Amino acid sequence: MHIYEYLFTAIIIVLMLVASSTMIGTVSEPLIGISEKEQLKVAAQKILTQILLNPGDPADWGSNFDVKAESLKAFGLAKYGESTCEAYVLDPDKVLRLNLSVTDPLYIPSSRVLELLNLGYDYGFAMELYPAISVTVDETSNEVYVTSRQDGLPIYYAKVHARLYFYNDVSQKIESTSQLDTTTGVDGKCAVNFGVSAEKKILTLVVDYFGIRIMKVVNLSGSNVKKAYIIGNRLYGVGDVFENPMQIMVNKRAGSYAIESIAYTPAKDIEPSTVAVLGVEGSDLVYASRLPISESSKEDRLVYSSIEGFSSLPFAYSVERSVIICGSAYNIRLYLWRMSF
Amino acid sequence: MDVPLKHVIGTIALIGLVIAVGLSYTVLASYIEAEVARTQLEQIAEHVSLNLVEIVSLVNFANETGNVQMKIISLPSDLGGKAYLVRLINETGKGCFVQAELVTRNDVVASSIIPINSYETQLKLVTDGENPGTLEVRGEVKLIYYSGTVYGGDHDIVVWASKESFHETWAGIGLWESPGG
Repeated sequence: MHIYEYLFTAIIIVLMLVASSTMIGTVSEPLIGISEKEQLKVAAQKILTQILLNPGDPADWGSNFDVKAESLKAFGLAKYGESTCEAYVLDPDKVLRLNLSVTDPLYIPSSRVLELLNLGYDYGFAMELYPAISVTVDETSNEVYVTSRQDGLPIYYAKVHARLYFYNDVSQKIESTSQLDTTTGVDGKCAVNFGVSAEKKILTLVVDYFGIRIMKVVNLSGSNVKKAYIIGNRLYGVGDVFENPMQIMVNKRAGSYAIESIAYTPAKDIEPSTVAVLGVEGSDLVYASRLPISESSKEDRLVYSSIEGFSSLPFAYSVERSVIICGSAYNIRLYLWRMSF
Repeated sequence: MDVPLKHVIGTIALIGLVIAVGLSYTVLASYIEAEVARTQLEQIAEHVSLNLVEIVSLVNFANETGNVQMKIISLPSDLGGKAYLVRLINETGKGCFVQAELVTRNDVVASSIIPINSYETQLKLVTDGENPGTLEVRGEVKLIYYSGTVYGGDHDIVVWASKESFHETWAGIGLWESPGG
């Protein structure tokens, strides 16, 4: 044998090793990839179960002003009742505390949630919460537009109940129109024209589509109206110096919905069924809503993410569930991704 | 018969190369085998932790003191002929997690977090190193033999949760067996 033959044999042997190693790697790679996706799916389901079915610790952390991010012991958004519990019913106060300004002392930062869910630096997550059906209000044409979430198609024959509350500059009181009950047409639209030309006005809407109920409290006056929140049975973000305050409630009667208001005494607790409180502070109309993500006439959604500005990443796995908040139907979608590979 | 020195060197070099290649292949194959086993262990750990979270949610939802709930989880008896362990661990700084590991190679290990901080919350997990015990379920003859570690090859591995008091829930893993085995 010549030296070249030895070299050739050696090269063949090395090539055989490289080829077989590559083949083993190539065969096992897709299996591992599929398995990682499966694990992410199971992890996402587990985390969503914890978030949606557990109230957290303390169980009343949403309405308990003493519980700040650092004193929260476990994270969960389920509504807590000592005698009754309903699955997939979320506490609006807890959801609201994820939607406050990041500088607000009651805000729960996502870094704390990562810590409480034991996710550490291994995973990133984002939560999206949005009404089950899309309800938008065109302020110029006074039209309510109801569309499907899945395909954006208009929803025909959705029942719309609306009532307008406005600040009367002459009487310097909050007044309301009578309730308007209508249904959407084939284009998914219906007019809710009250013929009121007040500057400061709030529209309360209930849209019911075969049991899927969406409530909205819409500020139609832009910056002319001060915004506050209802957390638990108290007002948050505004003083109690209210004139002519009233609580707005939605009651179901004989298969239909009635938007009603009763007087509110600031020193007393807000009724549990109240969806909004209206009042006058100086010459300003102040409104506080219990609905955690119903703030404007535009399409509303809450995005709460461990990476600010990102609701999802291409390699994230998402799980979606339907939930009820304040009697309104919402969808919650959890995106989960690995931070390390 | 005279054999030139270059042939001796060449043959020895070739034999050495074949041995080196064989060893490299074994190491590589072993690494890939470990990776596949780790992936399977991760799946097992995720499966156990998901079921644990669900059973805890169920018991908390029922909100009834003395209520013990359990679920038999289906796990493979071995991983390619290798036995494995499932442990429930609570580690400072890392929190609670389910760990699955091969009995023969404890470097092949995978874990799955439990999204609850058991140190601070009202949930107490019976973890590895804590005293094992038994639990009766609604007057059944079989008992839950709970402990922080179970062998994957055991029959009727369960996740369980028990509402001990209004403010305290216990949970863990164990075996669903008749008294006396």
